[in-house]
Amino acid sequence: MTAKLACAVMALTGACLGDRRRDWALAMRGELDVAVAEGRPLTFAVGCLTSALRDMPNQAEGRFTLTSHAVALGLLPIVALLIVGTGAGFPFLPTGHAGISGWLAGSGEHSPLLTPWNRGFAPSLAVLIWGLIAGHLLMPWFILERNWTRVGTLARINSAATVTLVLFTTVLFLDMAFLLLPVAVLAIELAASWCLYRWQEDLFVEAPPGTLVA
Amino acid sequence: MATNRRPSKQMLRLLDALSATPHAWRHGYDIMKETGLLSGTLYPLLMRMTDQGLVEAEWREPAQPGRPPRHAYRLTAQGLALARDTSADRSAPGFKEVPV
Repeated sequence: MTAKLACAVMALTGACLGDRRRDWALAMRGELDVAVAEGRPLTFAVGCLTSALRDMPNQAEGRFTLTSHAVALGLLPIVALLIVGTGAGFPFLPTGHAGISGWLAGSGEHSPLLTPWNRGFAPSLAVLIWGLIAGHLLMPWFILERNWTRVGTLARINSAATVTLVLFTTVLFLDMAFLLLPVAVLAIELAASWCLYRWQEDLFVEAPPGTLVA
Repeated sequence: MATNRRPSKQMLRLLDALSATPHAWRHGYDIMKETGLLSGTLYPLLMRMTDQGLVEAEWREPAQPGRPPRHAYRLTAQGLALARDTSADRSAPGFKEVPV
């Protein structure tokens, strides 16, 4: 059990060290068998992980990885804010002042912003905004995977969904103030992912991710 | 390139251990046992000293089949010179070790 846990810690160490320190990750992994035989695999593995974490800020790739994680973790509370905002009575959801719980219980009241003629659009706009939230939740995952093709596709989908939301809000004469949050989330997400994309382009210009560097 | 900073106590222990048999290649775990340094101290030192050209590393075939290859280390000429310098400094009269 301890040996398996140590192996998992060593895998994390390898991920932290990145491609430019791949040799060192393999060197540490090579010594793990000796540590297992000596009965101290976990102490050894945790020490190696500490080494990797201490080395990360000194390496460009390590700094990039740390920043990517900070951005990914930073995006999640912003998306959570959007979810809370929607749950608290975002106008496209027929929750009114009763919130999500009231909506689920069937006691939700309609927002006064919805008139009889534009109320028919509410379900489709509600689906759109929940889809947008799902898209925002996927973005940190793709950023951490460094899957820039998917990041680009998702950025286009999220942008299109937000623009659709803006257009329908305008056409239906709904309160534009409610769009500040989704637009701000999209702007932050696009800016962060674009900066990371440009950074990784400079960083991995000679060796794309996954390439062994001597 | 070596730095001009005074070597730390841990680095001196590593230099002493590696310079005792300068031409021998040592494995990481053996160095840990010999110097008493933990992996969290030893590997950052080895990485830094390798980057500075003080230590060289080489892959060695495993002693037993099915095991991964192991890294082995020894001092370079530059590392050996630093080990001799620091050893001479410490044996000089009036030397006082500064805890790090």
